[in-house]
Amino acid sequence: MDRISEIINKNSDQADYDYKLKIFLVASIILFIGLALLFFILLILSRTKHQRNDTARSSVLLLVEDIFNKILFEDKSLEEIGKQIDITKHLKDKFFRSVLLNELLRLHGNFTGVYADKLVLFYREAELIKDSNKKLNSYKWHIKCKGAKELAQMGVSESFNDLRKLYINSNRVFKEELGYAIVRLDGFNGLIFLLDNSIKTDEWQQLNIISILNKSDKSKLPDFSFYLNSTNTHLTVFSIRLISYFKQASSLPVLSELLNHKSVKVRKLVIQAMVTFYAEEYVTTLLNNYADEAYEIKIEIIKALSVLGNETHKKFLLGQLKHPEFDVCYLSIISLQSIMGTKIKNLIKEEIMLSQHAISIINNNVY
Amino acid sequence: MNNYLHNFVYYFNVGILLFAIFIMSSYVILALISIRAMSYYLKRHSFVDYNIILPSNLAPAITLIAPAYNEGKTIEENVRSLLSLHYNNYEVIIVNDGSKDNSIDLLVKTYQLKKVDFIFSPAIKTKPIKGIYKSENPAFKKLIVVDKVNGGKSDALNVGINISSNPYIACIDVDCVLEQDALLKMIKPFMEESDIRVIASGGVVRIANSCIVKSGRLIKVNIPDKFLPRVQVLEYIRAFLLGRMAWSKLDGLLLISGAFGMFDKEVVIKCGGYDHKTVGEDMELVVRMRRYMVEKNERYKVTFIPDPLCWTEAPDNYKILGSQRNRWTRGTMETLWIHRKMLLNPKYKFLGMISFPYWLIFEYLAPIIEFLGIIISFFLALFGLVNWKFFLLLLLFVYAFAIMFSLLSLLTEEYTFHQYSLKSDFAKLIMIAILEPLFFHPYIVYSAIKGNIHKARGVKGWGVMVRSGFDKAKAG
Repeated sequence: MDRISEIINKNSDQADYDYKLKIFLVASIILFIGLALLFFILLILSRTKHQRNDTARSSVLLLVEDIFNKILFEDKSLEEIGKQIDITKHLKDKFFRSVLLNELLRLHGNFTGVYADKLVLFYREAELIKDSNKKLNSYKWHIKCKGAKELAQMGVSESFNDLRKLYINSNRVFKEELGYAIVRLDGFNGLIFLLDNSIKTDEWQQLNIISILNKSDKSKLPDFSFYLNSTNTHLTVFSIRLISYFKQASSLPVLSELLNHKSVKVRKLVIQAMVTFYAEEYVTTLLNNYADEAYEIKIEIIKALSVLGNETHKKFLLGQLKHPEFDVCYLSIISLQSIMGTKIKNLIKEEIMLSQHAISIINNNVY
Repeated sequence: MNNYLHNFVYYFNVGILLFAIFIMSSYVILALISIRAMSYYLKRHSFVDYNIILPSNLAPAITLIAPAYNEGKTIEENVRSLLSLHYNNYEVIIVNDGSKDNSIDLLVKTYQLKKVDFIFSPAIKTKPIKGIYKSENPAFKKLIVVDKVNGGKSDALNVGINISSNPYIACIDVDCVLEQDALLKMIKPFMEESDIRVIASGGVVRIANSCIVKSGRLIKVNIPDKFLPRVQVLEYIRAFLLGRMAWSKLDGLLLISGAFGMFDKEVVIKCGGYDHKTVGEDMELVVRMRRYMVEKNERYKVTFIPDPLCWTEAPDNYKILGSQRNRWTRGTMETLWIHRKMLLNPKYKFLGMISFPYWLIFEYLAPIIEFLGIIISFFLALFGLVNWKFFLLLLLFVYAFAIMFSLLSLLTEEYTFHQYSLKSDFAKLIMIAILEPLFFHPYIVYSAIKGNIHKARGVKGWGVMVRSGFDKAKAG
């Protein structure tokens, strides 16, 4: 009896399980098909929107190109253009303004001098500045970034204070973009505003800022050595790059103190800066530090000798040919040849012990 | 006996269903993470001006390494394309890996090359080099061509790494077409991290069949005319946009496509370069680099760029496709075996506990489980033990999911990079989403099983890999 009831129970459990499973599968299939249909509809809608926008943009672009042709090459003002085209009506259209602004920014990026100035003037006259400011005040951070970038590109100096205020309490990305904008608008003064001890700029930002500064008025160049002794390594690295790039040789004494900095990156950049400035007077210091230095720095010192070295360093470099590392041997040979102006074979005397790498490089005569 | 069989069928059904649910859930979770990460990436880069650092000589120096084997048909055009990228500070090393065609003669003639004495550090052991060439024409000063004894793709890449004089290397397939700003976009993650070392970065690879390529530049994106490359368009969109982006976000990316990846040269050399014993050298290198960094206790990151940066030609017939997927399976098996120590090893954190098991179960074992499922179902049907209603429901469940997921990937593509602009393009891709599970996926499973069998039988090498070149494109 128990056995029969066990079988009945089991069969009933099984049937219950099968039923639930089927319900689950059917429900899932309906869900997947429903989602697939939804994605399909969204695809169609998005595609239609894209095409509609593309068509609209193409027709607006024709007009916009005409406007910019008149401004740039026919020296027409907005008022004069207004007599030929009902630009006031068009400027009320949000889509038109957006295409106009994008095209203006693109053209401004490609032109300099008088043409760029004409575009800036049009930007102001057409009150496109309002659009950029609106973006700057958007609640979306990436739109804010676009606004800051536009204002800086078009040289809207009156927005400088707003940008500075926003810089204080912004997220990392917006802060980065604001930094570029501030430097673009105020050159080296803007840079000083950014160089506080909490700054954490990466290489990408540093290169961007240097590239922007390169177009600034270099007569206002501040003394970057002021930031070299910062406890913030990011700031120190950035300062060394700025000193090297803008050739502030007067900073060399302060730079040389950084040869003992804890960061290998800093020490490496200092040696590279010394090469940039042909600072031969620091070679002795470099060689004194050599024995205790990291491999990366040793390589940098040997490389530096090819520019800064003289005959008195021949012995040191020949000594490096015993080194088991290929790069040390190779770079020492290059530096030796550069200093002595002769092939390495003429410099090698029999008593010198050479590493296998050095022998191979010299014998193959391929340096 | 009947009871045993009944139980077997029961557990088999439950097992298959659970596996399907598990794999589907993981796809959905990864897709959601990808979409979120991509949305941030697109916002983050919507205002970035890459042109600012374009002319800068402070930008990090990069070496592009492209191994070439019998690429005579297209090599001149491909090299021209590599030399015209938008970046100030880079060199191009073409490694002719013992081609049997006239590749080297063509390069010498076109680029006015001359054999030069050239010293480099033999940091990674490779096959002998026959000669190193540089151009006498200053216009091609960025180009170095190496002619070497055949040793395979890994060996050729290792030669390029040895010769490279720059801190970053970008390894690519010579027949790929790179977007003009590919290097600018790829180097950015390396420059953006000052506290963590970025050791590798991968980009999205797209299918170039039927696209219009002129002078080594992609002029127009088209949907491939043939069925197989067309399916691979969808497959690549799904894998790169909804898969790898998520793994990158989770810091669990194990694979950077061999077609285009950028690496920190110092770490690559410390790890010993590409392993020429495996056919999955791209995945193996990334896993070995990651393992190296964990074992050295150094902070690091592997990044991924979702922009379409590299366009490649996909196999357009079943033989070549089968050979490619067979090799991918063997490559995965070899990498998973070489680094088996990482599996479920807490020392490797997310990598060992999640990424590695995921690859094992869903990338390597999934086709095997699928194949076993088919075999068992066949025998059960033979003995009349199949509950056909349940069986069909299960099939429909998987099929509906596959279509839904493919449409999600197409929608993601539409909202993000929008590469296929014609209305008809999407109609074609939607049709492919419906057909793929029926006509493409079974062949992929078959090729993976073949890969397993070949591996068990000790078959090595790459198999057939013939490319027809961008012939149509040139005409266009």
